[in-house]
Amino acid sequence: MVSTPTYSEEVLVTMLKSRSRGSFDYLYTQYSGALFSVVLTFVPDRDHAADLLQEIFIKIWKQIESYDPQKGRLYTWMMQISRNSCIDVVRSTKYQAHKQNLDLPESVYARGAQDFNPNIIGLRQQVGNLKLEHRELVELSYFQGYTQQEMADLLKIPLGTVKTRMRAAIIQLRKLIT
Amino acid sequence: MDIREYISSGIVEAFVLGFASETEVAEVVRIRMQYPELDVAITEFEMSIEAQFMNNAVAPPPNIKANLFAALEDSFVEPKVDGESRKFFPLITNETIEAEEPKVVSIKQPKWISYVAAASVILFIGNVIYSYSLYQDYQKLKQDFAALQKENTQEKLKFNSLYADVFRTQDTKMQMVKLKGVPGKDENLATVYWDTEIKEVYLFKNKLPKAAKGKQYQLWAIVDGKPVDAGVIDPNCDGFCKLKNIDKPQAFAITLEKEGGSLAPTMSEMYVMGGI
Repeated sequence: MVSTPTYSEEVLVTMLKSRSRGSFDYLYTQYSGALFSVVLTFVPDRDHAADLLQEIFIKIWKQIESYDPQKGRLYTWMMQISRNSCIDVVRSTKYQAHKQNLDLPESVYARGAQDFNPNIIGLRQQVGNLKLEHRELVELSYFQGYTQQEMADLLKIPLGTVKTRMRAAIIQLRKLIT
Repeated sequence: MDIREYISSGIVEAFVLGFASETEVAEVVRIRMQYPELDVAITEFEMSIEAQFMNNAVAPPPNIKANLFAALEDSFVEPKVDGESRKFFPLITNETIEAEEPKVVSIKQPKWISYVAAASVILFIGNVIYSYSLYQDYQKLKQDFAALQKENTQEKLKFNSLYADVFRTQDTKMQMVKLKGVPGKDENLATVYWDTEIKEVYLFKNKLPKAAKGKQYQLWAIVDGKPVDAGVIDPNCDGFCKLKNIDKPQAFAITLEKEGGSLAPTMSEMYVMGGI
């Protein structure tokens, strides 16, 4: 049996915006598992990730008014909120520690490979199948929220090279995840 | 522009996953409106990434949901009796329980967890319904209480004013004048309290028939042997009714006049009379 949404996004969003308790319950039941797996790709520690998920749902609830269906699906919007929250955390605590040893992509990767919960066959694991020069860019941009210029500075490569590699990396990634 | 090349450039993925730069986002938003192909590609990727995470969903610890409901309690609008929220609410219950199962199975949690999850949803819904009925009871009691409180205040005001009036009549400077029924209207009775110092006149209707429509009682004072208007009697005044001040009354009488009163008393319509 496949988990199929009972309500169209349109109805759900309208209900959420009207602050209905039932709609929040539905939203949580429907999406908490998927968003938790997003959070776990950034923050492998389960307790830490659970706390973060709680903050993310509070943000979703508080910001639901600003969700615009014209710009994308509800899940995409929630996933982006989740990613931004995760990056805030990753950058505030881990980033400080990582700043001392700038071989960030390597170290994150080495750690990532062993720490992953075997249940998560997520995006991050797929990233591990990319070539190093590609995966370091995906890691930095997607998982750590670096801009292209920041990556160019960090990796000491020209901005044009970042753009070219990034493009190749995403195309590779897409093949892996879809 | 070559839209196919643009779509396959990786911009769609960067846009959906959220790591496209602000300039790129603005560009996608603009081009998307011109090229339906791009719009379709974006939606397709959104759905595939959503399915990807849905299929790899990991149930968060159960306390997270309880924490969230506790934290957000005040921001929820209670489900309404009619309208959409009610329609929404009962509908999701069964589906929610069903939808719970595949997630639980996919991460290989013991079967009993799904029963606990289902039971907690049922308990939660039961709790909402129960809370709602309590809330309705509470609203009803609140209304009843407000009505009683209002009534009580009105009664208190009435009592206080009556008490003040009675207190005033007992003053030694107050002269009480009993107005008795004239022959033929013997059963009627009224009492005038006349303040000998400040000349105020109060009337208490002990027994007077209700004035007919278009008619009103009028008090007259006899001063120097002549009737002087002492004011018409407010039909709504139940206690001590204040009338016009009279300097040196010898007697008082009440006649039934046309509404608003007359200049001279209609002697045939006299009800009560009494001398000081």
